[in-house]
Amino acid sequence: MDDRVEELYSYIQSRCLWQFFPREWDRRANIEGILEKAIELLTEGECQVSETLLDRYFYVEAKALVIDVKSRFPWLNELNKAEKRAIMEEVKKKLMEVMVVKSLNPELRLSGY
Amino acid sequence: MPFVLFRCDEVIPEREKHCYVKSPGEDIVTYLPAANIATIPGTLTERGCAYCGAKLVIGGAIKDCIQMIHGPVGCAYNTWHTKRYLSDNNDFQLKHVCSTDMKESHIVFGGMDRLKKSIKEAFAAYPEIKRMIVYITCATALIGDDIDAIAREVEEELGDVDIFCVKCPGFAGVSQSKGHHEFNMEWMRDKVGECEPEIWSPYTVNIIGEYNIQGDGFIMENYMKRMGIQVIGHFTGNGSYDLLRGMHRAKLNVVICARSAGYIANELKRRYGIPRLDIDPWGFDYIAEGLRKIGTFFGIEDRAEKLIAEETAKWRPKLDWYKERLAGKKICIWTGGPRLWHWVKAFEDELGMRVVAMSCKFGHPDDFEKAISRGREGTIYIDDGNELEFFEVIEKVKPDIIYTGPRVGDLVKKLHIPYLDGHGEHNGPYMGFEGFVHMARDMYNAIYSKLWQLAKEDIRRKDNGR
Repeated sequence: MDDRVEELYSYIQSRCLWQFFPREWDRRANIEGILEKAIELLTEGECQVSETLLDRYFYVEAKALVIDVKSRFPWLNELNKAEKRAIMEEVKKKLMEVMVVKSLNPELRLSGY
Repeated sequence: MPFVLFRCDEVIPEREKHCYVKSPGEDIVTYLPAANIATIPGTLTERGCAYCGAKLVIGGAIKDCIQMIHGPVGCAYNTWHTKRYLSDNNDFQLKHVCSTDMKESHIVFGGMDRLKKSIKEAFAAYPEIKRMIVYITCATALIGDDIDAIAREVEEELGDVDIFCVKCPGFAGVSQSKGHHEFNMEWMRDKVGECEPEIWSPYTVNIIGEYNIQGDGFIMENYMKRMGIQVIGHFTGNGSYDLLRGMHRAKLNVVICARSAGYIANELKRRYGIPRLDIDPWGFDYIAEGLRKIGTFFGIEDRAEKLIAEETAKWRPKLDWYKERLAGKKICIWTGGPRLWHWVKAFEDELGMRVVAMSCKFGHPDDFEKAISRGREGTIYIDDGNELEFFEVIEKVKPDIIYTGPRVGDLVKKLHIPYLDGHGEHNGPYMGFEGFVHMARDMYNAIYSKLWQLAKEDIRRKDNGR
């Protein structure tokens, strides 16, 4: 599983701009919001989207990500729901660790924009 | 390999933390070059000043307002006419700039009267223009001229004009980046929310951080129009002063240059709940992804797919022709900040090129997080690079072509290495499907030009130096 987590994580890191938002709170919100929806889309085929524009934005990024990784990593389609969820939870954990917790970017924790 | 110290930097070893070569197994929590900090004394920086970032990059692109520079005349000239941002207002913003032309006596006795006179003269000279941006500069900031007070006085006297004041002198930050920041925040604070735009579509966006270089913005506006999407604020390429005051009415912020304009997108999200969608508009794969996301946001995916299919059919064969000839070529990207990470994967994945060195003048740490995450191992990453470092990089990586600015460009041309203008986009536009073909064409023409061989010939010698 570690190799697959690494494969997905590396791809997301080189592709997705939402993880690089400028402040810690933006990064946390995006990683949480987008990957939660991506997990739902991967496991259930659909996800709840509320009326807010921000929730719709998370859905947009999640949908693009899911379509992309399903075509680039065919092995993902062969996993059951629990396996998909487990892998994506690990990817989320790793993204949070690299992009927020261990980030060397000193501007992440500035108080304003 | 961790940070590297170039031979030319042995006398300024602090430069080491700004220069990095990515090695196997390393990522952005292993090493991250220092960025957006003061230039180290002794290094020949190529950065601009904070005022330049506000005027030349952001404010100067707005098409329907007078640009008034309160300072010595050189501050106006040196931020005028060097940026190729077009507009559909007969390029008013490219043709005209005003200065208070401050001289010694004004510095001694104060420049506020002179500013007021200049503002009124300018409005009289361009009677069809009722909007103005006034910029403070180093000299007038140091003597404490209150440009806001003068602007309010003139607004009251003339009645039908609106003036935005940018208080960002050249010394305000470590580079032009501070000027981007100040303009964003001041516009948000002083102007957004003042106008209510006429809404003609249920699908409304702001295009943020796009400056219509060589018509890039026209391409983006055309895509939006074909999808039935209304662009309210175009911040700031081909941008309209009053529409930019109505940015709060958009449902989505489409962000292109996150470095120069991410700030206003963040504030629009924080204050008005408008989401920020960052896209890469260079490269077929990336622009298609961006358009699909915008389409999904508004539930008009079919329109996005139609546009993508039409554009791909039209431009793909041309791109493929260039790809065959560019594959394997080594390229350096030495530009301002975000183009490093916007371009690297598009060049590598879609044209088969190898990006061997990247340098930015005013990038922040997050620009390096993106560039290193997208760049390959063995590539050199430099913050605030200087000419002597570039000589060493060229010696080491032997690039086939370099995307950079005119100053470094003239330097590398003397070494007989093809250079393309990464800021002004040579024969752009470069955005979108069409634009990426232009980019490939420019690189092909530069690399395969016979000029480089001819330039090496010494016509004083009978054998022409061969």
